[in-house]
Amino acid sequence: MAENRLPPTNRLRLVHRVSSNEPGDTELCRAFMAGDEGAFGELIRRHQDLVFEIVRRYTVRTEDARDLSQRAFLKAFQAARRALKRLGGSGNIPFRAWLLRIVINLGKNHARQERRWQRAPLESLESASAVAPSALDGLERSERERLARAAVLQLPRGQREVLTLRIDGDLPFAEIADILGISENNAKVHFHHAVKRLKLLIAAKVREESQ
Amino acid sequence: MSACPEFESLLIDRTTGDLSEEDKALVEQHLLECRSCAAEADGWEKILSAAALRPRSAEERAAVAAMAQRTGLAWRRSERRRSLLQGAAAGFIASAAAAVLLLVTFARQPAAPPLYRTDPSVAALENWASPGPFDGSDTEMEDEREQ
Repeated sequence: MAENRLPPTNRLRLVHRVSSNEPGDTELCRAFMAGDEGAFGELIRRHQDLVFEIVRRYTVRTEDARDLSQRAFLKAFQAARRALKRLGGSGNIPFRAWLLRIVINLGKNHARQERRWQRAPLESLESASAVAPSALDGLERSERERLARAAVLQLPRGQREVLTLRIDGDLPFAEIADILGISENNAKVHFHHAVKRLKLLIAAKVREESQ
Repeated sequence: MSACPEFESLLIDRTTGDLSEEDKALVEQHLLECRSCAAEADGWEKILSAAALRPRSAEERAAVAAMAQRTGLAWRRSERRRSLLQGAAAGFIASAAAAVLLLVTFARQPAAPPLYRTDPSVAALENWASPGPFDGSDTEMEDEREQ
């Protein structure tokens, strides 16, 4: 049982933890706006794994994930430039939070344009307690993953955003709350609802495909 | 068989590693004793494990490795486009400002004096009083004299 455990931190180190002697995101943004090209590269390298992993949730093709990641960085830099102009020489900007908000919105819009996901009607879902915990047991691993990933994109927006930031981005609830502009407790509640709904959606899909 | 209600949320938190040390000890002890909760915990792990993204392909790893360079090029391109647009906008604004200035300058100049300045009512009277070249009254008089 223990070998299946999340969190996915074991898969990949997504979040770059900034040590005290490294410049913060705002300092790097300022340095870049002052003409330091190295600061630009450093900012991207710092966040590229996290950005790409979240974008991957909403895309099928690698080139789409790459283009969306790039667009997210460009938009975040443009926002940072405007904000730093307003702030002058002092004050911090929440660069990573902005970047991730942009990533989520771009990803969501891309998925919508691709018309690859539709919200399942609530009525078709049974109550959580009526679904056996072993609903996925009879399925091949690849089939199980396909169903689960499709179900993630069918979650209501708030639940999906919290779930992906938690399991794809490996972010703590406090940061997720900050990015989405909700309370930490609300983020946790959304996550619990998301996994319960995911279970229902997967069970519904298993039923649908077995008929 | 479903999980004990008081452990339902804790089992989800356990799956994502979000339990405090105290709760973790409590839950692990309970899982040794309760088969329903153990099955439920196993189910959550399977669901979240299945929902997790697959490992990155070689193509995806290459895309991430090249991201700083590609984004740098894209930024420079967008900056060039931006400065071109700003230049064009500045040119347009300068032309528009010059046109407005010209209009204002000409509008402020005093209007050219009219060729003759006459009260319209006086002009109408003069026009009525002076016989025009094709005024028929004179012709009639000459015709009468001839007769």
